Amino acid sequence: MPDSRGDPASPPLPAGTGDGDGLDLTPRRPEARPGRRPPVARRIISLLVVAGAVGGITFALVRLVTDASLFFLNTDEAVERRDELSGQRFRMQGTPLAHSVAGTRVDFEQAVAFTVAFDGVAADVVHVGSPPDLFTPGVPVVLEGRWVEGRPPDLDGFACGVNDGYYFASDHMLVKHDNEYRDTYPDRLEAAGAGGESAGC
Amino acid sequence: MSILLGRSPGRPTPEAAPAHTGSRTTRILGAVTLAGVVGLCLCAFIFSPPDSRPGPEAGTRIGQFDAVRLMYVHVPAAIWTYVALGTCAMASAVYLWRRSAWWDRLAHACAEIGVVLCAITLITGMIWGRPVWGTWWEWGDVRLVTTLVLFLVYAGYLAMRSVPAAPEARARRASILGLGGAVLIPIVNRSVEWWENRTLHQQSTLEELRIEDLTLFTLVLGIFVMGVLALWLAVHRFRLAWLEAEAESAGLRAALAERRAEAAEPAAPTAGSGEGTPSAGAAGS
Repeated sequence: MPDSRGDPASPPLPAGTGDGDGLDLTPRRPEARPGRRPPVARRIISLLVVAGAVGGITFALVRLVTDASLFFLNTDEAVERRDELSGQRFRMQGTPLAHSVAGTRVDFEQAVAFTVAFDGVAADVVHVGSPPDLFTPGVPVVLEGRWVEGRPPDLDGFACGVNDGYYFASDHMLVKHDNEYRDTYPDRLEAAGAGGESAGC
Repeated sequence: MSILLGRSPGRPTPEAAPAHTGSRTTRILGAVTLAGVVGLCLCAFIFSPPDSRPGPEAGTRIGQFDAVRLMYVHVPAAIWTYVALGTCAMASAVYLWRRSAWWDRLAHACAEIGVVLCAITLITGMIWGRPVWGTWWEWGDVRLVTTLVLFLVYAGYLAMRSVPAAPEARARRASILGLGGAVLIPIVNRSVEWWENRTLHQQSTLEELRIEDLTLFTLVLGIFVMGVLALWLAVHRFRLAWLEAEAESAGLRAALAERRAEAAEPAAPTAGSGEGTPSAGAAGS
């Protein structure tokens, strides 16, 4: 095949890829060449999506580290470290005990008072705000707040509580559902109480 | 391998690529998927009971109630996300070793399916979390955030693949990311065990088999149906990628033929230039 670049009779071809037996393959009509150099917009959009993904990963990891830095303690650990945690905000996990839940008010706001337990250790809680729909005794919760010494306002005491002079003042509550789906689970009620039944009514 | 190209096993060549993405295998897979989806909907919405058990107080019930029905999509989608993205990582590793476009396209197809399934996992999890946990999202939960990061890594993988570049360089970069991103899969999967009692997300139900009767059957059916659906989608996506590469090669071959014709025009028309010979036809594949 003739080499057009070496033929003086042929018009000189513009510099291009030089692919394909020395032929210049630069498209004459870029929009009509599928699979060839795409529009600049495509490159920009792709790079923006990549940058967005990198930014999203960074944001998610920073939020995880920031939020996870808040202590996540089970009730028994929180009670054991009460002096150390004085005034400090942290998360506490426990299971509300049967017959312990009572509605109340704190500073004219709706609140609920109850007692949670984990591994046989119980603690009294006052949560300000509406609890989640599935909040009920026997279903574990994760509370966010701090220890307060004394008796909660507008409340004479916890009906079935520990009443040890401290309560956990919570303003954020999440229900933590377990992975149990068996109707006939024999130890369900014992597990739901998490060994804290003795502290209840 | 033959299931992906719809023909006998062997090293695929551009000439042997399928003309479309359908085949007898995909039609069977599609029919099984459709029947499975109908059966799953019947089991999930009609036959299986809501999650409800007696509570510790007399006359009370505890459980997820009707929200449990989301589990029949959420858990299968999560399982097949791991499989799809794990396959993407495996195919990426083989590509880096063998430098075969076949494995690169398999990684691409699996990554797309994995990202879609991961999105389904995240969305159904959020919809489930609102009534059950009382929140759409919890940034402090390791399972949730690592799943989001997994989604973003492979969404970035797909975006990176669409950045214009030489096919080999693009495939190499994508393979490195596809392989590296798989490090997250065991972290996501094991997070609820490694941070037990420190996460909002519950532990695995299937590993401890804390599920029985029709609830278990429906969950297993959901896993099967989601698996067949993922396979069906992956086969089609793989074949589509193959056809895209073919179209790219055809464009290159057409350009070559056109230039040869242009180059031959001023010279004697009898020059045996062999116009249209796809000598570099495979360059774009």
